[in-house]
Amino acid sequence: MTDAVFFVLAGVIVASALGMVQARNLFHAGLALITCFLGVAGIYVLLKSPFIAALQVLIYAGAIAVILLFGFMLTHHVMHTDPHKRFTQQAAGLGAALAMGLVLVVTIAVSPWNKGAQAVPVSDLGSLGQQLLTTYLLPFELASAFLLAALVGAIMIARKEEGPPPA
Amino acid sequence: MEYAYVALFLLGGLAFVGATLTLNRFVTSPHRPSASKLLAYECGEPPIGEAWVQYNARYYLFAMMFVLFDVEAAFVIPWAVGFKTMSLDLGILPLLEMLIFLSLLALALVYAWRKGALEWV
Repeated sequence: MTDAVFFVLAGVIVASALGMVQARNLFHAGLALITCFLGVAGIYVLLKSPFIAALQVLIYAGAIAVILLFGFMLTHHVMHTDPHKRFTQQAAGLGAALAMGLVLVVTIAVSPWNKGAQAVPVSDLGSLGQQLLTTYLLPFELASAFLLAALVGAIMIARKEEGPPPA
Repeated sequence: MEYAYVALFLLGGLAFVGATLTLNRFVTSPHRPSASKLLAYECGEPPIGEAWVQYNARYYLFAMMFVLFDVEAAFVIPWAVGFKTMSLDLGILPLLEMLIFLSLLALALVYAWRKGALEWV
């Protein structure tokens, strides 16, 4: 059963990832990316990490996808450019993909995989919250300061562009 | 397997959309597209230009507001779950730490409000 679900999810992830790379329309690529994110959330559920799965949906399929799609829609003429056209971009894409692949392969190769039969530790949301407020207190508070800065920046950008009326 | 419901819901949703679209083929009139039939319907007005335009930068603000409170929720949930045990160990500290976190984000909201960013001009 778990195997079947895994292969269905893996199929969705690989298909949507290919769809994203192949899409001629940047907006469609973004939608395919969201499908890919949702498939990865399903993998987290299979790994018995429901909170990580929820975060995957909330942060990746939610926040990051929204920023990405808004970025496309707010950028001048980006919807009409074909990302596959220019050779320099293709070369840059190939280089980035190869570098990323190298990092992944090396990480998988050197990671000490636990192949024993001991129980997988249950994800404990409460202790995660406790660590956030003790060990990782500074990053935790800094996160809210960063979010504040991001919003102030967004207001500045939106105020500055007092050109044509909202579409 | 409590996620069986999620899978069931997903399949049900896909089946509903698929069935509706398939049924549409049989129920509605024959498929004979023409230029004026394929025109985007804008209350009877002929549409100007196309939909792939550059949108106003003001929309970025709403995206950013969503991200702000989206990430806030992601941080508050583990805090809320572990709050009881943390309070037994640390007293009022967890509450104060979260109040600092939330007050910074509240400051962002107040700033946006005061700047009139929540108003639609």
